[in-house]
Amino acid sequence: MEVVVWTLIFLGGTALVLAFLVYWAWKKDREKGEQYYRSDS
Amino acid sequence: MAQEAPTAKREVFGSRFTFVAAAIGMAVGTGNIWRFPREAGLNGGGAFLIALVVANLVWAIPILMSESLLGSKSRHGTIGAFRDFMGRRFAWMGGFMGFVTVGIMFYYSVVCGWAIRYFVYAITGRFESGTDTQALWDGFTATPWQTILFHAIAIGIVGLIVYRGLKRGFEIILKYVIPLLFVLLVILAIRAMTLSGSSEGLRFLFVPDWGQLGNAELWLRAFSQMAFSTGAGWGLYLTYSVYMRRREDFALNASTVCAGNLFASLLAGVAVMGTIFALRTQDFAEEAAGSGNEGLAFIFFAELFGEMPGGTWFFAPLFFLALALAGVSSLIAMMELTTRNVEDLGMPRRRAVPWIVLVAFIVGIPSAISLDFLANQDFVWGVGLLIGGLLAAIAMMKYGVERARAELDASSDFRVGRWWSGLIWIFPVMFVILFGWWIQQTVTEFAPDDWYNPFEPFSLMTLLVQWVALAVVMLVLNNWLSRRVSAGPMTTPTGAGSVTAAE
Repeated sequence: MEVVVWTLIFLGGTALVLAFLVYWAWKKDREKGEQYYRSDS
Repeated sequence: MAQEAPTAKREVFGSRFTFVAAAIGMAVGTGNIWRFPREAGLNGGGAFLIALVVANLVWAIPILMSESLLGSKSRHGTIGAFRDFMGRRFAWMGGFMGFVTVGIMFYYSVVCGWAIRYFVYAITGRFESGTDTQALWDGFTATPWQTILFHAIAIGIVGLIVYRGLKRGFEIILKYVIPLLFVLLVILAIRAMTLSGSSEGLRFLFVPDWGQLGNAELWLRAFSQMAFSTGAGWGLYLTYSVYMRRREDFALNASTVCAGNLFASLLAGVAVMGTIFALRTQDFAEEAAGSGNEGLAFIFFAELFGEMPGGTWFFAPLFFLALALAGVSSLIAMMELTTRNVEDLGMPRRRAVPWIVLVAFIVGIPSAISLDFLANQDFVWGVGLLIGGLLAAIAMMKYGVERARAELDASSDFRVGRWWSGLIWIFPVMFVILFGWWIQQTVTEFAPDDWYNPFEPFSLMTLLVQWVALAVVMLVLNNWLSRRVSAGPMTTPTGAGSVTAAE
């Protein structure tokens, strides 16, 4: 049980954080649009 | 005076996804697969992972963000970036940072060659039950033509990719290779977790030994693992940032790279330790963990494929393919760093890459034929990487920490507050503690009787002689480098960086 909990915390937790960061980046990019990265201001 | 800036528009990554994938490829290397599981297991399991997360937050992410600003704003490799951020008297620092990584590239190509060789062994069914993997390893490494041949193959493949540049070369390759690498690691981790008895491996890796959290050595080892693994201070992230889109994010991307790198390490840890504990005794597992990088992957772990259902023909090729891809994706970044600097010095890529491949091949030969020489180079330039992190922090201080923070904040998807400035200011303290520990280890543990002998592979003197030699060469070349590197968006007409011009 102890092994399952700690595996979930570390492996699952890191996977969740990574998935969240990727989702956040994807959402921000959608909000800004491609043009944002082509213009200077 | 700096050369005229090239009129051709510089290529940029097509999307944030390809940039982050390339950067994760830069960070995820063979160390994630063969160093991390040993270090984590032997140093308190979950307690080590907690320290590793802290190290990522306070060391890796701030330094990667600094590197990103250096590269994306200067649009130059390490030498030009330091010149333009700090002034022309400091180009040598960029040269030092870059050449430490070049020093790694020379032997890392040999390591990638080993992984490719073992992939070939695996697809030809060499890992059947009962195979003497110790004899296989000894036979391979004692046959110079083989190690040199596979070193040539590794550096040749990477040279071809880098020769084609960003859009037709490494962006398109890494866009597919990095997701594939994660798929391979997930398959290997699931296989390991489904083996009876693998839970002991997971216990070794994940269950915290809380008593260890108060142990200073655990923290020092976690910070070292993080510094070697994330690529912070290597100049590689700086180099990829040269090709960032305008107004690209800094903070979220650096955090994603660190999280991706950590996730790859954990998957590899599960795959390696889960399998070893499932198929062998605790004593064997601990002996494997203590056997060093090559021993763990090429001798102890390789021995188990023959005893795993589907191991010989499926999981062995998968594992060594993952190892080779992880190595090659990092080697691509190292060669691009070299190429970017040589291009900045005025040699076009189509001429620069063949020369770099030739030099890397020749200089890598001693590492291909002598494991002692390779170990020495790994030690000297591996520890030297820590200095690169300090140089990036110093560049921020010279440029103006608050000014850098404001620029990072302006383009970042989450707030770059004073936490970043604080971490940059305390970086020298963290560096002195970590670096001091490594130096102390050379005298008390690695070579206590021969610390003054520069020919002893792990002595203090071998570190100092090679670092000082590199620093002296870079200092002597400083003015030439400053003048020779082409002008960029930050370079003033006198060739000095914007800071110097403002002084």
